[in-house]
Amino acid sequence: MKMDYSLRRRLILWISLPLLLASVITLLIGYFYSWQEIDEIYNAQMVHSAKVLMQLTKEELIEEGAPHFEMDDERIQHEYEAKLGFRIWNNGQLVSFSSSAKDFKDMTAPLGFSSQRINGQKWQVFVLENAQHKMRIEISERYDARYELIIQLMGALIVPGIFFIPAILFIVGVGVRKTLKPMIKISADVDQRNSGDLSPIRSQSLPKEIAPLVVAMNNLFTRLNESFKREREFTDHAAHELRTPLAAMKTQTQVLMKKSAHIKDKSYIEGLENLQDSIDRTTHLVEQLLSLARLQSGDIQKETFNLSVCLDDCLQEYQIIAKNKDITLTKSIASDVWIFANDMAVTILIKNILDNALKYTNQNGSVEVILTSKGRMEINDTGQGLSDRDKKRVFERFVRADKTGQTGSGLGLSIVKWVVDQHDISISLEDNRPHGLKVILEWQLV
Amino acid sequence: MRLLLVEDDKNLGTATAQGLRDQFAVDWVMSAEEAEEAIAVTDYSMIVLDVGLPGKSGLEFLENLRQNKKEIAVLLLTARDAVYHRVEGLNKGADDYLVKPFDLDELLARCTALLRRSHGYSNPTITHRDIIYETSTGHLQKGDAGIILTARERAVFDCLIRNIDRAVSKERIMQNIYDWSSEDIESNTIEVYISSLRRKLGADFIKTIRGVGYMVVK
Repeated sequence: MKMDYSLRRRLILWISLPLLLASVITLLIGYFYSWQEIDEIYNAQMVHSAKVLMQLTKEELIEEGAPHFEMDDERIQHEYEAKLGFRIWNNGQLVSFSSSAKDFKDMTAPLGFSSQRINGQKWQVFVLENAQHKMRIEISERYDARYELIIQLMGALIVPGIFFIPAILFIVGVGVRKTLKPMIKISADVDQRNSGDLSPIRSQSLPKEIAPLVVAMNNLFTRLNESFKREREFTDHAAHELRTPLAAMKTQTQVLMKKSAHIKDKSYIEGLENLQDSIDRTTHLVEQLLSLARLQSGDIQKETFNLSVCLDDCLQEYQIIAKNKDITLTKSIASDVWIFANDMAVTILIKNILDNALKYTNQNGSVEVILTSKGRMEINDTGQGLSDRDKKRVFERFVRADKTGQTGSGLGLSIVKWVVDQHDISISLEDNRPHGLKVILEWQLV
Repeated sequence: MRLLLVEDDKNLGTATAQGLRDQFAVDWVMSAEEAEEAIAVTDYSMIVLDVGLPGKSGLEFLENLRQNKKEIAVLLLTARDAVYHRVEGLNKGADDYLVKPFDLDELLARCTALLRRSHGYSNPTITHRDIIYETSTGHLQKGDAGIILTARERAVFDCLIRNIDRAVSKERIMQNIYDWSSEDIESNTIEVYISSLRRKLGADFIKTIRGVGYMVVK
C-alpha cells in the first residue's frame, strides 16, 4: 500500500497555515493603517506649527516693523526635538531657525509638503508663505520619528506573536495527536492480530467520525468470520460424511478378502488389496482435510510444553512402521527443549514430516531425527530427495512432487507450512548427502 | 454370543454384520427406536452402536439404556474423533469406541475383549480339565492336539464354557447362536451341535440336565 499522506501532518498544516496567514495579514493591515494615520497626524501638526509660527511672526512684523528673534536656545529639551526643525524668512532673509535646522543652509523646498534629503537624512518639509508680508515659514521633521513610532507599534504586535505562534503550533500538534489516538490504537490492534483472528475491534469510546469505520470493519470481520466458519464447517462436515461410506467400503473389502482366502485365483485377492489401498489413501486424504479444517477453526491455543517429549512420543508410533519397511529410524534428541506452541498443531506438523520421510525412503534406507538443545530439528531421509524447483512448490496445497507412485494427499506439507506460519518456526528443505531430503526446523525456545 | 448392531448406513451395516457373523450371531437394526424394541425381547451380549443415527441419536439411546440400568457392553462407532466427542461417548456410558473407517479385525478384537471383560474374564484363555480355550481367537486345544470347531459349534461351546458349573438353557444357546438372518433353525439342531462337541471333546464334557439344558461340570 502506498502511504500518500499523514493525517496528522495534514491536520497540523490545515490548522497552522491559516493561523499564520491571518497573523501576517493582520500585521500588514495594521502597518498600512498605522502608517497612514501617523502621516496624517504628523502632517497636520506640521501645518499647525507653521500657522502658529506665521501668526507670531506677523504680529512681530506689524508691531516692530521687522521681525527680530533671539537665537534659539541650543540646549535640547527633549530627545525628539533634534528631529523637528523650523526656519523663518522675511524678504528673502533667514531671520530665525531652530538649532536642529542650522545645517539646512541653502536647502530650498517648494510650497506645501515635500521630502528632502539633507546630510543623508530624509526630512518631511512643509513650507508656508505670506505674499503680503513676504514671509516664508519652513517646518521640517525627520522621517525617523515616524519610523520609530511605526516600529514600536508593530513591535507591540510582533513580539507577542513570536512567542504565541510556536506555542499555538505546539498545542495544535499535541491536540491532533490526542485526537488521532483512537485511530492509531485501532490500527495497532488490527496490526497485532494473527491472520485467523477476526474478532470485532473492542473500544470503549470512539469519536463519532471513526465509529462508522469501526462498525463497518467489525461487520466485515463478522461476515468474514461467518463465511470462514461456514467453509470450515463444510469441510468438517464433508470429511465426517465421507467416513461412513469409506468405512462401508473398507469393511466390505475386508469381509470379501476373508471370504476369498481359499480362492486360488491370485488376481481376485490382488484386486481386493488394490481396492483396500485406494480406500486407505482416500481415508488419509479425508483425515488430512479434517486436521487442516480443525487446525484452522478458531483460536490456536498456545502453551509452554516440552518438545523433546512430544517428538519422542511421535517417534514411538513410527518405530513400528519403520520396522515393517526395514528402515533404520535413529534419533538424537536433546532433553527438555521447551517451546510455546499449540501441541496438537506441533504433533500434526511432526507426524506429517515423519510420514513423508518414511514414505519416500526405500527399504533398508534410514531416517535420522535430530533435536539440539538450541531448538534445531532435523529430519533426514535417504529417499530420492527433491529438485530445487520442487522444494519451492511442495508447500502449496495438492502439489505432489513424487513420481514414485506413493500414495499421498498432497496436503501434508501445506499443513506443515500452515503450522509453521502460525508459530515462530522457520523451515527449510536441503539435500541430504548422498541422496535424500533434509527438513530443518528452527524452533524458538521459551 | 448374540450381538446387536445399530447402524443406519445400509452398506456399512451389511458389511459390518457380515464381518461380525464370522464370530457372533448378529442382529442388525437401522435406528435407535428399533434397537430399543430389539433389546426388550432379546438378551444381547453386547451392542455395536453408531453415534450418528437418524431420529434418536446413538448417544441418547445409550443414555436411556444406562438409565434403565442395563449392564450390557456397548461399543460406539463414530465418524467424529475429536477428543471431546470420545469423552462424551465414554461419559454417556460407552465401554469402548472405534472411529470410522475401522479395521474389521480391530472391531472383532475389541468386541471379543469387551465380552471377555463383561463376563469377568480378564485372561483371554480359559483352562478347564485338559482343555485350553483362547476366547479371542477361538483356538481350542485338548492335551497336545488342536481341535477344529465349526463356527456354530464354537458358538455353542463358547456359551457353555463361559458358564462353567451353571446350567444353560437350550433357548439361551439358541439365542446365542442364531440371529434373525439364520434360516436353518430347527428344534433339534442344538442337539446336533452338542453331540458333535461331545464327540470332539469327550462324552462326559457336557452334561445334559433334563428339563433345564446343558452344563459343563467343574
